[in-house]
Amino acid sequence: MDYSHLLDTNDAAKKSLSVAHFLEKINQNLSGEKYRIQGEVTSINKSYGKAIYFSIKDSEKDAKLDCVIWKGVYDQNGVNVEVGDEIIITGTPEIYAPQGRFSLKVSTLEYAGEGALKKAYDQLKEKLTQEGIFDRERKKLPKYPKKIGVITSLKGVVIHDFTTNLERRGYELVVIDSRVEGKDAIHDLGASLRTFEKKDIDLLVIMRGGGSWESLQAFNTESVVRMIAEFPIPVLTGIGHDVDVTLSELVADKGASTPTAVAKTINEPWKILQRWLQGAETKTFSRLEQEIISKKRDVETAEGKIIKQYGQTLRNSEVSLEKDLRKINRNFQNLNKQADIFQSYFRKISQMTNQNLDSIKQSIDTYSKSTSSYIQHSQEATRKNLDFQGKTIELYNPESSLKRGYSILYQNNKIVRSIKDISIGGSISTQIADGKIDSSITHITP
Amino acid sequence: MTEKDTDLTKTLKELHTIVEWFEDQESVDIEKGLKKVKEAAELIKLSKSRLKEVENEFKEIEKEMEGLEKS
Repeated sequence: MDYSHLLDTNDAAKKSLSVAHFLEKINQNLSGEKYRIQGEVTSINKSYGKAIYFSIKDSEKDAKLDCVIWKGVYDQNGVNVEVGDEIIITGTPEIYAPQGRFSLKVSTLEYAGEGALKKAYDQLKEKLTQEGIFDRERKKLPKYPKKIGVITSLKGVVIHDFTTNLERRGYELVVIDSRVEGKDAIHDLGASLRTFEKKDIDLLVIMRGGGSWESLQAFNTESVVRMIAEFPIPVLTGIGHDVDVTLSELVADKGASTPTAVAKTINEPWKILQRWLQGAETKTFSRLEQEIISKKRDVETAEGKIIKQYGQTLRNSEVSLEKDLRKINRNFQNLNKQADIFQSYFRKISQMTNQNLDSIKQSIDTYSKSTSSYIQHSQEATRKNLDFQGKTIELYNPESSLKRGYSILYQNNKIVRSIKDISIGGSISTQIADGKIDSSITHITP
Repeated sequence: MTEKDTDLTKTLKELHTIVEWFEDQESVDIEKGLKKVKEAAELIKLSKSRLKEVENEFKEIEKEMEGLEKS
């Protein structure tokens, strides 16, 4: 650290500083660096309101350091320091102006050595157990998370192991790079948890690789343990450990030993689902396949039965038809016989008829001849009679009378037969053989 | 009715009814029997077509699933 500017004799001669200003300048310079110091607690005073004062010293050399830590920070560290404890503190040096006392302003405080760490661990575990923090009902991890928040250090193999072993299921990973080792990790872990509280995630994963018991102390810190317990989203931890499980893991909704195990825990429901799907697929497929085979058999059986039954019916009908045909044949043969008989009868009848016909023919000839002679005689007699009749008719023909000098008198085309039919002054017509004479009546004599 | 519209369960039930009809007859009336055989032939045709269709669809799905498993 360069203090030369404070020792400038020329400046000092020209302008003096107030004590407060000087200490302020000193503190400004001192605050630039953090120191990590180990020592044995020689005194501790927790009764001064918001701050706790304690002193540490080296066991071998005569060296003492006064320290101050804010009560809130002390509580965050989750320790209960007592005189005689070997502790490691991290902080920045400062001079407390009112008393001009040099002290270390502590930000982290942890036990040094396995024994002390174990003691602190047991004490905190006992305290939290009494509160029932480990007995509370755990949140169920989502089976198929989409957004996964990850708190881990991006330095090292943890994130690589995790992402390599995590199956590709379309997860959205939101990673916050955080220190995970030593007491300094407390602040990073706290800040990361608070950030994720506000983010839309389905699952929070906190991971770190294995390490010494001492390096895992952040995860045995009360503040971190409580934040994990109260985190609104399910928390899955992958914090390596040796003998004792960290309190963070104990309080988480589920703990896996390594980052690889965390990835496998997230993969597991998918694997189960995959196995179930395979089973369901096999069962469904084989069931439907069986059903198709069974239905095909059903159709074939039905087809067979119907063909058999109806085929039998057809055969029966054929048999019955053959019987009927045989019967018909028999009857037909009988008919043939009867026809033969009938034919012979017919021949006989025919012969008989022919003979009769000849005799009839002869009779007809004889009759015909006598009839012809009779007709000739009759014709002659009739002709004579007709001649006589003709002559008679000729005698009575009016035209013959007219030719002989007679006439016929008409009035209005009616023959006048009496003088009563005419009157004086009337017209009459007289028909003679060769014409007509019209005349008027002037006189009528009875 | 097309094969797609065929309700296999209903068709098979009708086919079974015809089988039962044949089994219940002491002597099958040849005309009625022929009518039933025609009906049965139609049902068998539809059932077989539908079954073939179902089987093909089933095989396609099976292949698809095998493809998914391999990918």
